[in-house]
Amino acid sequence: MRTILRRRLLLILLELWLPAVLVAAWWIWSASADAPFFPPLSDILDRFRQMWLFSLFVSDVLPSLRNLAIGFAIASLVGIALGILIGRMRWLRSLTEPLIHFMRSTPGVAIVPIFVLVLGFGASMKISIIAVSALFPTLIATIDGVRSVDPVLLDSARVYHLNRRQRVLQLLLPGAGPQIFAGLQVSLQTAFVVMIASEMLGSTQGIGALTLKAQQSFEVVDMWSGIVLLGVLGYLINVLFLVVRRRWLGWYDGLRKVANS
Amino acid sequence: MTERMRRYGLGVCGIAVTLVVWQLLVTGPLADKPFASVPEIAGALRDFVKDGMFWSSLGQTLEVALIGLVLSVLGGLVLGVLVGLSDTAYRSLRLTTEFLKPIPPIVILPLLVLVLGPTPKMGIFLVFIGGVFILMTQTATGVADVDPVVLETARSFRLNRRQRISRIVVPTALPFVATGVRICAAAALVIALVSEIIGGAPGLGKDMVLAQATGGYAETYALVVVFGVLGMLINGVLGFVERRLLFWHASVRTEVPA
Repeated sequence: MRTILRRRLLLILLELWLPAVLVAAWWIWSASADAPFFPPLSDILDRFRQMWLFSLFVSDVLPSLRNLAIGFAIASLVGIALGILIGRMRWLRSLTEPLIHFMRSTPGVAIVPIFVLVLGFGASMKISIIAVSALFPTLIATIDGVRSVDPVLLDSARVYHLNRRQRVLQLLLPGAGPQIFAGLQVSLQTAFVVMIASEMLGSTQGIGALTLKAQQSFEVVDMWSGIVLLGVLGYLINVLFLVVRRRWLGWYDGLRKVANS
Repeated sequence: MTERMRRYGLGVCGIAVTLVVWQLLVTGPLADKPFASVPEIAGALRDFVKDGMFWSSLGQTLEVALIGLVLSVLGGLVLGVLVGLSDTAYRSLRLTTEFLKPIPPIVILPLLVLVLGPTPKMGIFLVFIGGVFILMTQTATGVADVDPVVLETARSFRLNRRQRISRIVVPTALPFVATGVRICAAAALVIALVSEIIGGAPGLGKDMVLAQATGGYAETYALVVVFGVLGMLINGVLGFVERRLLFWHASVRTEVPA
């Protein structure tokens, strides 16, 4: 019992020492380094608290996150719905395949300037560019997932007179689920990048805009505070996604674990 | 064969319909908006072919993407083998990489521009950061995937260390590394363009921002077409190389019906 406990403690220490050393090294080095681009970490954290907790939270952080959420939600719903449709209809797939692959290969950040041109700098531009860029990973993953559903299952469902709604909800969606979630994860990362890019390119509101503006006016501490916030958000958004994924796909992960053991 | 022709035929139809709809929208209801018609975009593309500036920008962008990719592959391989072979190294690095991996490189772009300026070097560094963690985890997963029984068997057949690595560890890890390289190569082009569009480094991305700012809409849209085609080419080439290199692996082999 004692040794197990000690071993577990050792493992936790083994996981924690590097991050702790890195942060401590950064703290100590930056406190006395006097490097213009690397201000003391304590200053960055102070500024972080002043800026984001909570004076700019409502004016800049919330709008960014709202655009991200709406854009990603649109991309997911449209991507999954279109994906099921295209995945099930062969002629539609042949018709749209080259176009979809072209659009997927076009980086979202590259079409931000065009969306700015057409829609201006407002929230509608940001939401639409996020939705459009995040659409394609989910769309392609859903098409592949729907196509890989066992045709015998589909035939059986038909034999048992499951109607279209039941076939989609009880067969296609769970069957394609693992691939859909893989696509959604890429979509979410794309959405996050494009959220930042849409703010950096000409907007004055949002975390990305504030961070880039701080860099351009050499407000180094402000810039660092923005980078820290974006980094933490990027990490937390992924954690949130994994929690949701586990709720929906727990059955699948369990199945795979059993199959692999 | 006819099935295949039908597929290609429909694909061509899809592209044609898109172009026609675009043309009708742009000359009709959206005529006063900042769009360019199909012939204008095609004309801009034709002009690119003769334009030395275009080719040097293209070279610039590809160079940044390629150097960054090669560096991240080298770094990822070294770190990945280290982490895959040693449990201590794996556990030590786990939290740090788990935290850093989901953070996109665009987040540190402002810092890099501040330190390195709007230069190709900045772009290369950004591509490197964007790829190195992915390749490291892919390599580590591949190396850790080696079956210990196979390794023990090789040991009892007196294969020496070099043989064990070249015959067992490398073939097991290679498919994982190949997947990592493919993900990172597609990302490398995107990140190189980000460093140009937002960071202002020289290359096609910067050309596009300039074209957009000066009202050269035909060039702007033509460059977007170039980006899409480049991305498709990279994906196609890498898929081809992967199939050739890993023809023996289960994920590539076409199934022989029993």
